[in-house]
Amino acid sequence: MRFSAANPALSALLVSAALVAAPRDEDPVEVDIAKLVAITYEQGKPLPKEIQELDGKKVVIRGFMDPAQQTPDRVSAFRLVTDSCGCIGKPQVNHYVEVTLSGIDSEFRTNMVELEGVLSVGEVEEDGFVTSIYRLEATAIR
Amino acid sequence: MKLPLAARAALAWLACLGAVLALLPAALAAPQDPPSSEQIDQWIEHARGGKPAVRPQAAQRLVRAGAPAAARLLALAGSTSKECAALGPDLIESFGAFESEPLRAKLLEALRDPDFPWRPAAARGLAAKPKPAERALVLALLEDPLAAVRAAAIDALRALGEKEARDVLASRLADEDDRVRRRAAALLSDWGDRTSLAWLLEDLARSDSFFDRATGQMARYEAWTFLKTRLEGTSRSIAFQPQWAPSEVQAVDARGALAQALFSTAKSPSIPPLARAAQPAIDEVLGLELRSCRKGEFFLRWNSRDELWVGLGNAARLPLAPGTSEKLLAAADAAFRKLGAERFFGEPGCDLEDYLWRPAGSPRAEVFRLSKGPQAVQGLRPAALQELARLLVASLPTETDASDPRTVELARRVREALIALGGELAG
Repeated sequence: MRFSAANPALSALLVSAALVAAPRDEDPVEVDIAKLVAITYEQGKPLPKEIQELDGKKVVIRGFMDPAQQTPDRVSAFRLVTDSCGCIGKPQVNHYVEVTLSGIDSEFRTNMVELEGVLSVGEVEEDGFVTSIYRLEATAIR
Repeated sequence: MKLPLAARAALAWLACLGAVLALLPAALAAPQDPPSSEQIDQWIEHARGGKPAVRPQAAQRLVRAGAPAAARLLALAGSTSKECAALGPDLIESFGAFESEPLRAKLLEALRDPDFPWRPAAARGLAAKPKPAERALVLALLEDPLAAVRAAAIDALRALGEKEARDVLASRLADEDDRVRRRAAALLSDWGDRTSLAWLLEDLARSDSFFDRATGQMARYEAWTFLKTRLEGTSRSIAFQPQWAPSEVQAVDARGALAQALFSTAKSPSIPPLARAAQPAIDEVLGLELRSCRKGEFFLRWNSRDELWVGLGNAARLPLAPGTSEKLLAAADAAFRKLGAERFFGEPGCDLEDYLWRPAGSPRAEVFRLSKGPQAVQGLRPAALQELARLLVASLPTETDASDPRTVELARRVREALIALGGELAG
């Protein structure tokens, strides 16, 4: 059977099928950085289920660039934190999101930023040390 | 006899398992090789200058290494406060976990030195394994100017089991810092004073912010972390989500159910104004946020109605002389125009002096930041901000409400913090 654009019913059917099969541009989920930070983290132990479920999700998240990384240069990676200072306690690996800007860069911002991208959740180790549990490959910064 | 292949495989597997089990006790009993001096030095470098998440992990490895690591750290700590401070906060904190009297002496010396830049870390080190002989020091630290030190002192009291200090601890329920109040409430509850849970319950209703920072939301998360662990194992299984806006019906209902379960009444005990979950309409335009590792933290906001608001949460309102706002906002506008696109001055560090600015209609606040490490930096504050800083300090009332610790001697304390951060003030 040859496809004919002149057959509207068949066209509609094929277009619908193509839309279902193609990966949709997923709507981002709004993620609260306070929720990520508030977990009780123990190295090697599973993260809470609702946190694990965020792995691979397209998200929107707001926070601040870690002032400890302040630089006059443009940045393509930084830690996203809830506050300008971890002044009450020892900073832990669950207290930030390791952000990599994908295809974009930015000046170092002292005010709040909103990021959109894909969140990865889980321990990443370097030299036997856990260096991050949240990572964001951000495609937009506002 | 020739066994089938499957049986031979099973026998081989069992033989391997037997060998492993036979060797296991010896493997467990065998002492691990002590780390080499090179390995210790590498961990020290990680703990001093590695990524923030790596530093405490490296310090923990040093603690596990024991005496050789303690000896190396003691040598590096030198004989002056400056040499000791150069080790950084994670190593200073680790001093408290070693079984080493000389390192402990260094830790206590750091804590007693008001100019030592890592006193919060030293206090956490003390809190890890406090000794009965350090009781007086721990009680004194409950009154420390730094909130992080007061918080660690509460942890130390918990570790000491100092229930006789209940009254002193109860005074921390009126602390100017909400993180200290929550720790005090949690410990008092664990020592049998259930009414202190009212402070945590109140925090679940907070929706305040400091410019763009959702301080109320952060409070809800931390309060719920404390509260839910105190409800576990009881029949008080109540669903609450800290991300719920406090005015949502489900949040209101959950707080009511919690109050009923905790206090057998829909109303929780009365708590002081500074700890209440009020959200006054501040309409902040100009702010000053100071974070000094020696002089403490200050959160100040001015609006266009001749009002100064002090602190986070239910901030204290201080009326100003008529015309003050107009003068300050004009000075701020002029200063920020001079700075143009520049937003920060200095270098990354633990000390921050932030000027926040949100004129009417701006969706987000602009933040002009001075920052530095523990050492003083001359001339850090640019000329454009010098006059503004002076005017802001001059606007602070000198006579304030003694019942609110956030406003007591505010002008003097803010002035000292500004000098410690950005250097001497103009005029």
